[in-house]
Amino acid sequence: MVTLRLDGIGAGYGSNRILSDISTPTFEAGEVVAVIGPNAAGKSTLFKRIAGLLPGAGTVMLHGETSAQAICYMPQDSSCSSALSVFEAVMLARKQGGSLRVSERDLEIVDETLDVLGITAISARSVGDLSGGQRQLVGIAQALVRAPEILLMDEPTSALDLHRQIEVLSLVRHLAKERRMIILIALHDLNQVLRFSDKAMVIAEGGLHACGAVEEIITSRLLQEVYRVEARIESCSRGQCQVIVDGVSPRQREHRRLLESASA
Amino acid sequence: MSNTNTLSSMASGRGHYRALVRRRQLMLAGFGIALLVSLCVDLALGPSNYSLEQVIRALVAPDSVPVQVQVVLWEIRMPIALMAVVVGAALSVAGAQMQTILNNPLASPFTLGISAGASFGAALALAFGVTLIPAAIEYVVPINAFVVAMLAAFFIHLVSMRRGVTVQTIVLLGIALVFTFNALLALVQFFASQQALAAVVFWTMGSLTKATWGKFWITLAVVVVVLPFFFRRAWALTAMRLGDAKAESFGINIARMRLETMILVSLLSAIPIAFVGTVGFVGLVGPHIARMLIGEDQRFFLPASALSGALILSASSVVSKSLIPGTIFPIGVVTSLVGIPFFISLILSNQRRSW
Amino acid sequence: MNLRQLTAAAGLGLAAMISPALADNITVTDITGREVVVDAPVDRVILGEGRQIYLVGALEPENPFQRVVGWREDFSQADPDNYATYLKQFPRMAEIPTFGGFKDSTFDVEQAIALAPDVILMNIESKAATESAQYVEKLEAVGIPLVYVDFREDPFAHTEPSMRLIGQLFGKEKEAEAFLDYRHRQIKRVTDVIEAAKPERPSVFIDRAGGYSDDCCMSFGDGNFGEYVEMAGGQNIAAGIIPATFGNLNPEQIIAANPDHVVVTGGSWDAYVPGGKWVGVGPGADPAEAYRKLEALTHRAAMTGIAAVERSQFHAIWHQFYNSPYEFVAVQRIAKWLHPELFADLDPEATFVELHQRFLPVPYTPGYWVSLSDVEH
Repeated sequence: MVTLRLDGIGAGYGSNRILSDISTPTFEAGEVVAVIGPNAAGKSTLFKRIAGLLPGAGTVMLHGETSAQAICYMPQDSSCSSALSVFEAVMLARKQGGSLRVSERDLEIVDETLDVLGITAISARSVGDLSGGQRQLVGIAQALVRAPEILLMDEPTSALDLHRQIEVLSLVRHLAKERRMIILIALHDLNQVLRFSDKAMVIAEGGLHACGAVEEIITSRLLQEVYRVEARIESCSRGQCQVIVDGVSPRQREHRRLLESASA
Repeated sequence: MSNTNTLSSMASGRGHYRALVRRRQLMLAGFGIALLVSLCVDLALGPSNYSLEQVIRALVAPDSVPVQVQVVLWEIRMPIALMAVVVGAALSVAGAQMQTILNNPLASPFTLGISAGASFGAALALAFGVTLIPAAIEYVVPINAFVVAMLAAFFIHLVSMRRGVTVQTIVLLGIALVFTFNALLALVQFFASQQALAAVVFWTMGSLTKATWGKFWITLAVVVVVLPFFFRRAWALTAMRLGDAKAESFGINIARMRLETMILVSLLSAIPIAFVGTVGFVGLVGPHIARMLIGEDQRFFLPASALSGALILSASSVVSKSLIPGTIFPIGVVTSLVGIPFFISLILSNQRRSW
Repeated sequence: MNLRQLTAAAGLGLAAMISPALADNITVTDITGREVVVDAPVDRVILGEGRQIYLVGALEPENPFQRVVGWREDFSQADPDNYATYLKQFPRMAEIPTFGGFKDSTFDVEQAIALAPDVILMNIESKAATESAQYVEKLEAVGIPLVYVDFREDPFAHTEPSMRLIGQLFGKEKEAEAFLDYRHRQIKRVTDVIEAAKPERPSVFIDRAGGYSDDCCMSFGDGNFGEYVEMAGGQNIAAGIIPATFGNLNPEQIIAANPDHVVVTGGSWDAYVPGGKWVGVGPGADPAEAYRKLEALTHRAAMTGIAAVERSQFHAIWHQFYNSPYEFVAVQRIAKWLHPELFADLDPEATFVELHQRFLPVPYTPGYWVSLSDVEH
């Protein structure tokens, strides 16, 4: 069973240090950890650092039965003009670093993954022809097909419609439990964070603002400090915590009023 | 997830893929057969008008035919026919990988200035006797061509290693080199004597008649050494087509992949060009034809590029001998005439997106 | 006025009207048919191609450069051996202002005007470039006439009118006629015999600059050396195959045609391909070395088993004959190789020696040809 802990992680590009000194408690197998924070806070950079694609300070501490390809990073959606079919693109992800021959097992796994994500119908279409949502599902398939133990998903649902979003996030949660994976997922929708994740990590201003159980992290105060948003966390009629947004922070409003009076 | 996905549709994903692979294997075999046929025709045709029986006997039992037939087949026709095959394969593979790693459908040995550099190097030798590396006289022109071509490639490598250099920068730099070398070439032609001028012009039109067994073996060696390197990285190279971010997320070191590939591609194009002059079009169109017919999976795309390039050049060799019997049309002109109509018909008929 | 004075005045007037030769301006027709007014005889001439000196030198051998105020810089590049000989004889030649450049381009008009020539002699190949730059009009505007001559594009049609034209311009018509007469007679020594005897024509492969590059093989079509071979009673194997004047032959075609003779053109190309396999023939060439290199050329794949090699009918001749008004010497030489019995008493070397002695400003040096069949030389 795999565990993951970050110890003093730092990362950046060239002389531009984006993140520094990020240390977390241990994440256990089966946990879904939401990574939240303002835009350009460094979530993608953090993921790349954890996956070993970027060098940097600190140690990524992995314990348990791990293979070389234990950590898999799924980047944000980007378009491409390739003529490869969906099936080929997913097979490609699985065969990286592997032999040239495609085995029966490989075919099975790809088929299953496509089925689980509900994209078997488009398995013969070119990836260059897909819509944003379809591409994201393919991206998820490409991540899952490598059978990772630790999965880092960078905004995997941004282009999906509501139905698909819920489906995918349910699946993610289900997979984490069933396959004993640790899944770190960068999300913007805090209600989904509350509903589908166990823990949350808040990245802001180049560092770790907070990390812990999701109900403890998502508070009015946090939304105020990190997002500068006025909101309440309240239970709905079915007992699920919801974030209800009232408006942007007074400091912003004050600033705007100052501007208006100056130009008058 | 979705309950409508039955076992049969799951199997169809697999089944479809298997059918695709089988079709590709057949197509590769088809390419191979077509190449073999073209090679045989190239060996069988010529102004001497030997009968097919004579040709076969000369190949199989050379001592049973007169010396002249032997020499024509083994010293004149075979080096030319075989050279067409390896040069076509080399240039096409070079173009294929350039298009892959630069993500640009117009990339080819010409786009990066390698061929233009080779022309300039050759012109220096032909017009002024300038030898960049002292060598036996018959190797001066190819060595010059090779040295300048590799200098051009080296320059591009140096620049591409700097931080913040994008693929577009590399392509633009290559184009700049093309213009630079063409201008220098024009300058050489301006000062050249009439004799040298004719020689330079003929060199830039490409000529398989320069083929010798030695040059063939060297070119073959380069191809044989480089291809396995690309094969081992087949999955990674295919992944490059999904975009830099995706490929990187698979753990591929993009910068190093680009660098290594460009070095090999430079070798793969500079050597044949140094030997037979500039042969245009094959490096651009060979890969496109392969891609349209066989797709981008490098396990098939790579051999298909090699075969399609070899086929184009071999067919061109046949045509260039036959257009005006007794003389040989410049091969560079013929590759365009042979390749372009086929290429256009493919573009117009291609339903599936190919770029 | 009395009758005698009237007659004298009328006679003078009439003489003035009917003797334009005494007047300065004459109208000449150049070889493109243009009528040009020139102040003849000219004192200052610009040669549009340095090798026009081959013609000019035959008119004024004592001092061929006396009228040349400027010329194109191709002589030293194209014909270094003769250039050296001329230079030794006429050191002043090195001081004549030169123009460089492309074969078919023309030169700097301003520089030409600054030299204030009385006429400019342009080769016909430059006509297109000259016209598109409107040089003729520009030169006319400053009173400099331009005439076209040729001894390369169509030597047998144009050399005579070109020579006559230059003779007119220099006031050396008699010398021009003498040269042309000599040339005509030498040509007829070949063509008359061929016409009378109508011998079977041996097939000839003309190897243009054989050994210069590792390719095989460049040859001549119907013009130039191709025409020399036809006149000499031979059959050019490239006739009808090579469409233009120069071109490439499929090496196999040479074997298939099985030529009876091979004529390799050679020159001193050390400046371009040092130590190359070309055959070095020309004025002052080393015959033993030339023979050795010629023999080496017989081992090329394209020469396998052809009659020319079997019977040692393998010859080399100076390449610059393709571009020279003395080409009739080449025709004689080739005729003697092709039909030794018909031309037993023809001595091409003697012809060339005589040409130099009677007409040319420089002495003759042997070395212009060599043959593997060398029985006489």
